[in-house]
Amino acid sequence: MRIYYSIILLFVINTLNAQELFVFTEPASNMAKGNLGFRMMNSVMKEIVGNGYNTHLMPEVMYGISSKWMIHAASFISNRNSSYVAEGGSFYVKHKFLNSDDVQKHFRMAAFARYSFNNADIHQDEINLIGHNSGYELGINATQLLHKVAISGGLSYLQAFNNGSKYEFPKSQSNQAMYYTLSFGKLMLPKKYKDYKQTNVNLMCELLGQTLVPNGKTYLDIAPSVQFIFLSKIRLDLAYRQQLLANLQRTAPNGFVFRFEYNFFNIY
Amino acid sequence: MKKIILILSIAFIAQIATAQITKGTLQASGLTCSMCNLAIKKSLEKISFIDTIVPNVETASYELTFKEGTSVNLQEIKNAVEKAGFSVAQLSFTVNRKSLENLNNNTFTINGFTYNIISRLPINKANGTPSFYITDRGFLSEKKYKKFKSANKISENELIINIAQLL
Repeated sequence: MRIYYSIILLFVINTLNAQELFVFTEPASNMAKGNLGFRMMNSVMKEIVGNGYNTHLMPEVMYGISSKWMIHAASFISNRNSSYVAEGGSFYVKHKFLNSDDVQKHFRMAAFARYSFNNADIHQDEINLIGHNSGYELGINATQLLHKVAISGGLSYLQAFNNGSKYEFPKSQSNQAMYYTLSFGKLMLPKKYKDYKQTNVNLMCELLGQTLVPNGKTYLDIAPSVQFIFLSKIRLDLAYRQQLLANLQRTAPNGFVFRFEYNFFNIY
Repeated sequence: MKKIILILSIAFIAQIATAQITKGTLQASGLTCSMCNLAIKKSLEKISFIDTIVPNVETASYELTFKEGTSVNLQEIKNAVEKAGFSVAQLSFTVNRKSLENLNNNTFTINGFTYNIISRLPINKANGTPSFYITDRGFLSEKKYKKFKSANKISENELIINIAQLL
């Protein structure tokens, strides 16, 4: 129960435009300097084999070092092998290198890097640094805000390693991949802002694709989501991820993702 | 006698009234949602000379009042907006009449900052106190800044804040 309360306490805020606070990708915008965010992501994915579901919990902390640099640290907890076990973690850093603002508009670009470690068994072709594989990711993203609509795209390179000393990366599989994303978000409510207490509702849709290098095996997913922002600082995302096409082997591609965030302002 | 003392007191108070920036309006850019708006407000709250902040969430603008007797550094407002991850679209402010009494070559000085008026209407006593907006880089859109710059109106001296009268 205490863990449960801790989880509830965890959750973030961002200083980004909410309509670009996507569930599966990060926008090019950063948090405000000195702000600290906590988030908890919970994914419930259906296993392709059998009737089981596997649940991943990902507590994450985020900090705005400056308006141009931010960092995240996350840990991965999963029940894929019967009980909940901490399987690994990741560090993420993002540098916003281009910023062009206008009234109710912006175009921003950022470069990011992620390093993940994981000690779970390697059980699929897909390379997933969020809770499955050890490895690193290097990428760029670009985000355009146009009043109530945000569009964001990302392209990154993934390199997987062995998962600890116990699970070697299978030699028969590609350990590199390109990952590409395209995300859309729209602020639906309120129609007109009066104060910070109004609940914001955003609708989002993301396309997430991966192609393994060099064998060319690919998947493409679609992930619609609805997001609520309470009191301009608490965020709740409800998303569903569905595989559209794939010729690589995955164990549990489809399912629900829930995320709760809370932000603390001016901490340092 | 009482009347004379009163008149003298008023005259004395008028004498010691100092040049001062009394209030300001900030228009921020790069945002739509209330969450970002709040982030800017929280960043502004850290500035010691700001007394009150009244945000307009719909337009991303903020009405600011400043604490009396404090030194207002408008650069700090710009820095606070940028720390929150956004930009200034316009920063305007109002000065008291004392500030404009001794205009020197279209400049006036408040708390060590020199304000260079690059565009203004005749400052008529009947007009009340005029408002100005800053025309330096980072205090307005890059497009507007370039327009002022190409008209050779911007002084590059770091100690001088270039301003235009808000019409």
